[in-house]
Amino acid sequence: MYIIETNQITKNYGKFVAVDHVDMHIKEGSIYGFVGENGSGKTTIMRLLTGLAELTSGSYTMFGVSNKSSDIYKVRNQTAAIVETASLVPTMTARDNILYAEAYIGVKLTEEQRNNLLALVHLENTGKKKVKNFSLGMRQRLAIALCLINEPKLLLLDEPMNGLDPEGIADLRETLVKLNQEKGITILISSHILSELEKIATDYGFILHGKMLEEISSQELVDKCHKSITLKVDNKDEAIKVLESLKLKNFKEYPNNEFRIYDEITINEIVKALDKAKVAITSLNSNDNNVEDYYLNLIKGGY
Amino acid sequence: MNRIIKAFLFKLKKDLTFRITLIVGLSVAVLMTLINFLIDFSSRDETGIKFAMCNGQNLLLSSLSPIQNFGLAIPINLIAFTVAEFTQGVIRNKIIAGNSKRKVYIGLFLSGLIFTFVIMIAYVLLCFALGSIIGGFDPNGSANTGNIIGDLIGTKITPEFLIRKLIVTVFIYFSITSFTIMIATLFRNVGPSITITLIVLLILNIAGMIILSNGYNAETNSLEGFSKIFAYINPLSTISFSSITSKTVGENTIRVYELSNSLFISNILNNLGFGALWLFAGMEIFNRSDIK
Repeated sequence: MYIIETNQITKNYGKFVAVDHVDMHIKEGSIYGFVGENGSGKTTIMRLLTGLAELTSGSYTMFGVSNKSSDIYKVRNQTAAIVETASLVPTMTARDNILYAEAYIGVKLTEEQRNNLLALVHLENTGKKKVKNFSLGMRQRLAIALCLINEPKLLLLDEPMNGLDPEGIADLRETLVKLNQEKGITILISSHILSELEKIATDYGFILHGKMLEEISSQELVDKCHKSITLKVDNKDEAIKVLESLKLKNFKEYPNNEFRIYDEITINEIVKALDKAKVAITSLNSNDNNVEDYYLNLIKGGY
Repeated sequence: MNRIIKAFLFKLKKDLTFRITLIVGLSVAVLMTLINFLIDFSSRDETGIKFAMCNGQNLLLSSLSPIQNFGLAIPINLIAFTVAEFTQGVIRNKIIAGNSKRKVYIGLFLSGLIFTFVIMIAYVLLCFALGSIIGGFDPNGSANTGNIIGDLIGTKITPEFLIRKLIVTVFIYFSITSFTIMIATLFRNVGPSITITLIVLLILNIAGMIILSNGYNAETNSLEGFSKIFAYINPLSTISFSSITSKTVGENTIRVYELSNSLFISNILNNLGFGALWLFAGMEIFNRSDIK
C-alpha cells in the first residue's frame, strides 16, 4: 500500500513550472530518499503534500484519502513535517514550544513524555534557555521533537541534516531508523548529503527541473551500482559457456545478449576467454558506482 | 477549531509583543494621567478659570479613541504579532498538523481580537481609574473634556453619550482588528502593513473631520448633504466628529456632547459590516495563497 501516491501533480508560479506532472509512490514503512539539486522541486512537492501550497493540477492520495476530500485534514493530523527550516517560536523555551505544538496538534503529553521527547533529541538540559539562543543544530533537533509529539505515521523532512554537525547527523540517522523500524513510521526525506541517504533510504525518487526522473528501490539501486562488468556479445549461449568455464557464479543475463558479472575478475581475463571461444564483444563496461555517481549519471541524462 | 484557539492563546500568553504592548499601554495611561494632572495643576490661578482634565470621565473618553495616543499602538503591535506567525513559520506548523487554512485564519483573527481587547481594556481601565482617583469621576458636576470651567461652562458628557461611545468603540476596534489582520496576512511584512493601516486610519479620520465639520449645521444640529451619507459609511465617523447641543440648566446654558441614534446605529452596523468583510476577504486570501 502506498502512503502517498501522486498523480501528475503540477505546480506553476506564473509561467514557471516548479513541479511538472510528477507521479510519486511512497510505500508504507519505507524511508523514501528524495534526491534532487537546489530548485528541482523537492520542497515545493513537500509543501503541496502538507497543504501549505495549492496544486495547479493533478491530485494525490495520502493514506488512501484524496487531497480533494475534506478527510484530508484528518489524515494530515497523522503526519508531521519540517519544510525548509525549523519553525519555532524563538522567544519560548524548548518545553514551551512543545506545549504550544501540543495545543495546535490537539494532544496532551504528560510531563514524563515531554522529558522523554526532549531527551530523545538531547535537549533535556536546556531549561529556561530561549530557542533564539539555540544553535542551528539544536533548533533542528527541537523541530524533530515537535514532529514526534503526535507519534505520526508519516514524517516529511526537508533537508533535516542541514546545519547538523557529523555527530548530529549520525544521531538523526539513528533516530530516524529507530522510528522507522520500531514504530513503523514512513519517512520522506530529502537531502543533499547522498552518502547519508544511502545509509537509511529504502527507496529513492530522483527529481530534476520539477520532473521525476526515476523512482527506484534501494535494492534495485544496489544492483545497478554494484561493482560489476557489463558485457554485450554476439552469441549468448557461447558466452554463458565461457563464463561458466571461468567458474563465475554471480552473473545475470539481461535482454539483448547482455550480461552483468558481479564476481571478482578482471576485464582482461574475460576478453581473453571470449576471444579464445570466438565470441565477439559488442560492448564492455566496468561499473563501480555509489548513489551519488548514479544520481549524477542520471541527471546528465536528464539534461 | 478549539485546538487552534487554544494554541493562539498559549502563544499570546507567552508572546513578547503582547507583553511589551501591555506594559507600554499601562505606561502611557500613567503618563496621560500625569500630563492631564499637570495641566489642571498649572491652570489654578485666581481668575476663577481652571481646567478640569484630570478626572475619570475625561480620561475614559480620551482613552477610547483608536486613532489617538495609545490607540494607534494597538494595530501596530497587532501587525507585529501577526507577521511573526509568518516570519517564524509557526503558522505553517498549524496547517501541517491538519488544520484547514480557514480555521487557522479564524484562530488568528480571534487571537487578534483578544490581543486588542485585553490591551484596550487594560489601558482604558487604568486611565479611568487613575483619573477618578486623582480628580474624581465627574468634578463640579460638570464632566469635562478639557474645556475651561468656572466662569465658563464646559461641554458636558452625559452618561448616555459615554455608554454609546463605549459601545461604538468596541465595534470600531473590531473592524480595525479585522482590517489589520487582513493587511498583515496579505503582506506578511511589518513595514508595508503598518504604513497602509496607519494611512487608511488617518485618511478616514481626517476626511471625517473635514467633511463632517463642513456639513454640520449647528442651528439644526444635523449633518447635511454628502456629509450625512459619508457619516453613515465612514467607520470612524463617531471618532472624527461629535455634535454638541446647548441645554439650559438653571441659569446657565451648557453644551452637551451628543451621539445621535442614527449615527450611533449606523456606526455600529458599518463597523460590523466592514469587520465581517475584512474577515471574509482575509480568510479567502489566506486560503488561496501558498504559505512559505
